[in-house]
Amino acid sequence: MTRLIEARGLSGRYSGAEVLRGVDFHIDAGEIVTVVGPNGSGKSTLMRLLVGALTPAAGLITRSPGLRLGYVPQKLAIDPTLPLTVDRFLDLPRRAGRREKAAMLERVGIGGLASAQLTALSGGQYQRALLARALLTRPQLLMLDEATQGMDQRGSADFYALIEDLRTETGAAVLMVSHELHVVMSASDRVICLNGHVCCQGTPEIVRSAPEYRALFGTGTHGALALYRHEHDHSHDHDHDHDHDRGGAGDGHVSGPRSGHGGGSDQDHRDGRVHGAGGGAGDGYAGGPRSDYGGDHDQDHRGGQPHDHHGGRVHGRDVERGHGARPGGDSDSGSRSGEGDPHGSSCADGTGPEHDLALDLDSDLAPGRETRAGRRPASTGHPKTPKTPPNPPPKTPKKEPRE
Amino acid sequence: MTGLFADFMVRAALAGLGVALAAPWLGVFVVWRRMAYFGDATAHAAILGVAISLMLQLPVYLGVAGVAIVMALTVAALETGRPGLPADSLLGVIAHGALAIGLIAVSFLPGARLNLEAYLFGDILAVSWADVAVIWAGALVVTLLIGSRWQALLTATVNPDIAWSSGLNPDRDRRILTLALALLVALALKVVGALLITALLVIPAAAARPLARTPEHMLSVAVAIGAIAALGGLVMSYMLDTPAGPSIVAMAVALFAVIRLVPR
Repeated sequence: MTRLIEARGLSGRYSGAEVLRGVDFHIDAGEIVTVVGPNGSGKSTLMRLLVGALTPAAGLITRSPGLRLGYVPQKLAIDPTLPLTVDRFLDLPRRAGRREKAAMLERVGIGGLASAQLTALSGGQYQRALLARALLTRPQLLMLDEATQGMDQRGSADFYALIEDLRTETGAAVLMVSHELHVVMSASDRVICLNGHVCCQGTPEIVRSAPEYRALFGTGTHGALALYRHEHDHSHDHDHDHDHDRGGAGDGHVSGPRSGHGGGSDQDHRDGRVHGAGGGAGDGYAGGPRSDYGGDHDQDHRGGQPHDHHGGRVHGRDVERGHGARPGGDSDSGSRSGEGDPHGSSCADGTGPEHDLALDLDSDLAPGRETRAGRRPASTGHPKTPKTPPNPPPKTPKKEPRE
Repeated sequence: MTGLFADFMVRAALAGLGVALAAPWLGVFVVWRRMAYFGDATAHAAILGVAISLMLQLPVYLGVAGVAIVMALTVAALETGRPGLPADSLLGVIAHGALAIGLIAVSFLPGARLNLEAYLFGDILAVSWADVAVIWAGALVVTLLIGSRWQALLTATVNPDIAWSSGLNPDRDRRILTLALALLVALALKVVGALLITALLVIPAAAARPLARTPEHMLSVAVAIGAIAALGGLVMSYMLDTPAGPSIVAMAVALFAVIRLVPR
């Protein structure tokens, strides 16, 4: 195997704060590696260090000589003053042949859109255009940072299937950052679970059952927690309305558990979840899942998780399949959660995992990305919450037999 | 020769054309990268450069370009390293601070004081053939500088991380933009003056935007608009006896308005 990139003892800073420390990382030719981790865990910092956009605070990055990277960035906000057709975008940074470009657009599924303005594309088309550009550089390593943002569940599943096919066709290694654990994991050779440092890594099966992974991503929460954190991230980084909307949606769902806990009684709990009453988003998880595990609560809580506004996104067809494949199912993981704390501490610095994550969120995000901006949607999410109740009822019964 | 084709008018037209052809190369990036205030800060510092040149008896072009470079680099450094104040506020402080300090510096020079208006609003009708030569040579350098880094600059403008991943260095390319900006300020000072240099950068590019589908398309339309504005402004200045620099800018604004207002 040819080693494409290797990093040793890598530390990185974002807005002055150290978000990565002592990370060892490598990727070999032809591999698909996925990096998962909560918001503020340094996933994007790792990507930006690897492409050379950031200088490591410590450590060493070695690239194989002449390595060609195809990078699909997390966010690409084209200034409205910049006229840019898809065709012209594909010519960056080096011009490609007309036929080659047309074939590539066809391959990624947006043939015929060459003359469209980039800003006029839908979320899925847009990401495919970014992918096409990256592929035209004939990369040995394709890097995708949250490449499926703005896509629905079906769209992102298709997208990852495409990535897998492209790996087979081109032999390019793929390094992805993603929050859609269930979908991504099945396509990955190796998963790296990141939270400031590498918590655990290995094949998807190994990582999925690793206590560190469970500590990070919660147990009753499945991908929803990771998804929430991802959305939270968006609301920090973007000013666009649609991102705020999504951030709002995420927060609405998050604040649910929290107000439930505040209320104390079962009844309140359920109401809180379903209606997603407002509350500090970050705090929601600080107190949230942790205090809640065990007994009937657990059942309810898990039932509640899918109530998030994304509905189909989180719990679409593919994810449900993922649930089924999950060893032991939810009740198993639920019971493990309590025991998970001691394990988690190896990953999450001595405190309970959820609590630590919340701290991480604050410490990492507060200085650089405005925490206030991120929390604002919690209140704007509130009026939207009536949308939620219609979703859960059909889903909950569907899920419970499985558990 | 007299009238519209008098010698001084020909020189003025050539000087105006030279700047108008070069400015959009930089102007499109000023618009895309939202650097208008950055341009202002650099341009306003030119007055300080004039004062220093006259004090040290250096050629004005040299002093202006030097101060503009220092200014641009300072602003660029402050912009990246100073959180807590939004970039536009910071640049507002620096732009007007530079102008005020430059005006004070000029006031110490009795001779220059009389000429202050020429530096603020330009004095295109007074350019010499030597000025025309300097302007065209400088314009060529600006065009070559931007043109040779066009793809890299465009990539970095779309997304710096894509540029990094492609082996480019967006930081270095930004310094090239800065350098070109300082050079253009020095060239344009005689044509439109320190206060209106940014107008020459921003307005043709902004006017071209609705007509363009690609970056290159926008550039070429901006160049055309700039050239029409330069010549049209001079004719207007001659006919109506208006100040030449502001007339050129006013003409550009008129073109901007027409393009924006005409329904498509």
